[in-house]
Amino acid sequence: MLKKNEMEIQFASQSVNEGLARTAVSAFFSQLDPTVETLYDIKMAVSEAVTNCIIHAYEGNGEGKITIKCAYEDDTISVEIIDQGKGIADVEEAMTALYTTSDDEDRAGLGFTVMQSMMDEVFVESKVGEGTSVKMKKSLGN
Amino acid sequence: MNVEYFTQDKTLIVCIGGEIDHHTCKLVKDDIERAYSKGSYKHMLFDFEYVEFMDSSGIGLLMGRVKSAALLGGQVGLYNASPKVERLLSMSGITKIVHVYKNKLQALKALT
Repeated sequence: MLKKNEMEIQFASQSVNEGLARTAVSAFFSQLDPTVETLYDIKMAVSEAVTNCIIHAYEGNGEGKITIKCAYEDDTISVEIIDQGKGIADVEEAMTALYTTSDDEDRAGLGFTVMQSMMDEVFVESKVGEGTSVKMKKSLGN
Repeated sequence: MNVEYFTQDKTLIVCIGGEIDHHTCKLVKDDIERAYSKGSYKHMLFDFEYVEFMDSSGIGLLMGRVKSAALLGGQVGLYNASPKVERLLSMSGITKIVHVYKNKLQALKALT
């Protein structure tokens, strides 16, 4: 029988919700009984994407909305993180390792690099002034 | 995230427990800086035994502390990292400036 399911959640762009996002996504994909390692990888990718929304898309104002759409079909999972923030002018540049526009000296600029390492595919769509969508896929290969 | 501090000669040992992300880093960064500047420390050593999760914010946290320690001629190291955290550390390249040790004994031997 085909395993198929989906979930959508939305929360405010406050950093306290980073942990919530990881927990919710992890709970959803636990239905597929993945390994602890796989779940950890998914949590890492989600954490990076959500943090980007909070710091960059909404520039830390805490008033934006972040939507996460999760789905799976058989052993392929997808997670999409969507914001209506300021958008990314040059997606390719933003995805370069160590590139960061953050004024905070404690930001490593590794968000997209981690997402790409943890997941099989990462698609980024962005429009300046309208927002960004980061769609990630991973095959659990069970 | 919980942080506990211990002193070993000129080294501040920072024992972190829980999840390290952008949110928790913001909460503890100043606290760690205060603890470091309060004593007459040189090195900063992180015990990661009780770290349950860490994303790239943890790399940023370490990078910032390397800068602070360098001002006092000190170094930053860590020990007891899980394989998942070690993977992130090597992926980021931060292992060139943050020394990764297997355990406390090895770390203290190297840093003092």
